[in-house]
Amino acid sequence: MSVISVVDYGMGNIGSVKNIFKYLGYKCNTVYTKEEIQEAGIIVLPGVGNFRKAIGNIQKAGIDKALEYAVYEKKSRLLGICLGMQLLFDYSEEGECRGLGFIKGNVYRFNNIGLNIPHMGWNTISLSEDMKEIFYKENARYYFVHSYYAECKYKENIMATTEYGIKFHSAVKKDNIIGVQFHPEKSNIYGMDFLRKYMEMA
Amino acid sequence: MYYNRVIPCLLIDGHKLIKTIKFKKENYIGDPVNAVRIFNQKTVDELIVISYKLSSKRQKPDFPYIKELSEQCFMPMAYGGGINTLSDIRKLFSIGIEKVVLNTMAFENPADVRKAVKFFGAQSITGAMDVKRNIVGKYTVRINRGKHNTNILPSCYARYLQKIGVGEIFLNNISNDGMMQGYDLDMIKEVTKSVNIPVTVCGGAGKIEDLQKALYKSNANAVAAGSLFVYYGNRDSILINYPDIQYKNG
Repeated sequence: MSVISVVDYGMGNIGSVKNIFKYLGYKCNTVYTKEEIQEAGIIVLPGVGNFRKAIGNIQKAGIDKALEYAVYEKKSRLLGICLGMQLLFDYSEEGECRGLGFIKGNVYRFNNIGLNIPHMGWNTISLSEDMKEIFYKENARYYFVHSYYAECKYKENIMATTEYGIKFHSAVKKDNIIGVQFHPEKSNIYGMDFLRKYMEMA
Repeated sequence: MYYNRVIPCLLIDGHKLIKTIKFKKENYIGDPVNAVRIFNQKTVDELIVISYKLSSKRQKPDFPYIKELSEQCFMPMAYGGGINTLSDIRKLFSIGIEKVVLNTMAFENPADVRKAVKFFGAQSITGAMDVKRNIVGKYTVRINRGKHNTNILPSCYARYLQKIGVGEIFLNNISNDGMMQGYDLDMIKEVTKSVNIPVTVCGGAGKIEDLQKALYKSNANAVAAGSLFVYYGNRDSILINYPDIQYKNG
């Protein structure tokens, strides 16, 4: 059975991510070093907090290079959650700095949307046609909490969109990479369904 | 489609689940772990757990026990009570808590709250305020479980919380606590219009319509309640319950 490696780079809630994978019956380890990441088959990049601080921690530990190796050379699967998804992009307005650059596009702050910021609470997603077949779940809703949102440059990377004042890209994909803005680990039965389907994907 | 959150608020004293009336009369409800498990099965939007006696006794959170609760919880769980340092906050996040609810710390130590916001992100830091009505109906902010009157108006204090950077305000009405007579919508309105961060309101909900009124008439972003979710029908019968999702979309 495939082992899930959850990356701990000092940002946020890895406890609940591990908790849900274990509940679903998967084996789950915490990884800290570039060596461990290079070995991993399925990598989960969680994270809450500040983009700039996150990318700083990642670079300091050499995790950025290790992820590149894992994704491009070893063809490992990578799942980014929340901040971990935003980090996949080229650039973020939060801290005005570069991200990992796996997916073309930028991360912007919600501005003048006439609604509370952060976008915090439960919301629905509209899946792209190809992803609907895999991830669709009736009445599904997911837990979001974020003040910045991602925007893909290319349409083919958009896996799902969500509306909160504006329409933003709430799930993204590229080859062996998936990123989700919502927290599947905190989205109860809908999050469990999502992660189970993710794990069952070939 | 965005859903407003409906949040059970659980008070704990040690390993006991308690429900208070006006912050005073205490009724024993049951086992918190069991309650969290039931709320989880009912797919609640979020849970708030407050260990309400710790701060006034200057005691630390019971981390192993909180971990036990959070492991039952596949929805966001906020925790408050006895938190007064950054390392307390870090520890809570490491054991699966999503948000910390800071009351005394936000009042006494805004500098560290700012640091916490900077370090962990505003979305994970909730500033709590307890308010109480005096005999002429004027509300002021209370600290120390309602015992000490700060004489600060709720709207002023809400702006203060926003200014120190918290991502959300938990507005708890002592005067309506456990009364199940509805939220005080005018007071809530005063607070929600003075800030632009989400306000979660608590204190007074007795029926589903009370939740809807707070969301749609007073602009609360989320509604929390204690009694409504633990009592059923007549006050003496304890039954953990949660409204069906259809009720929540106005």
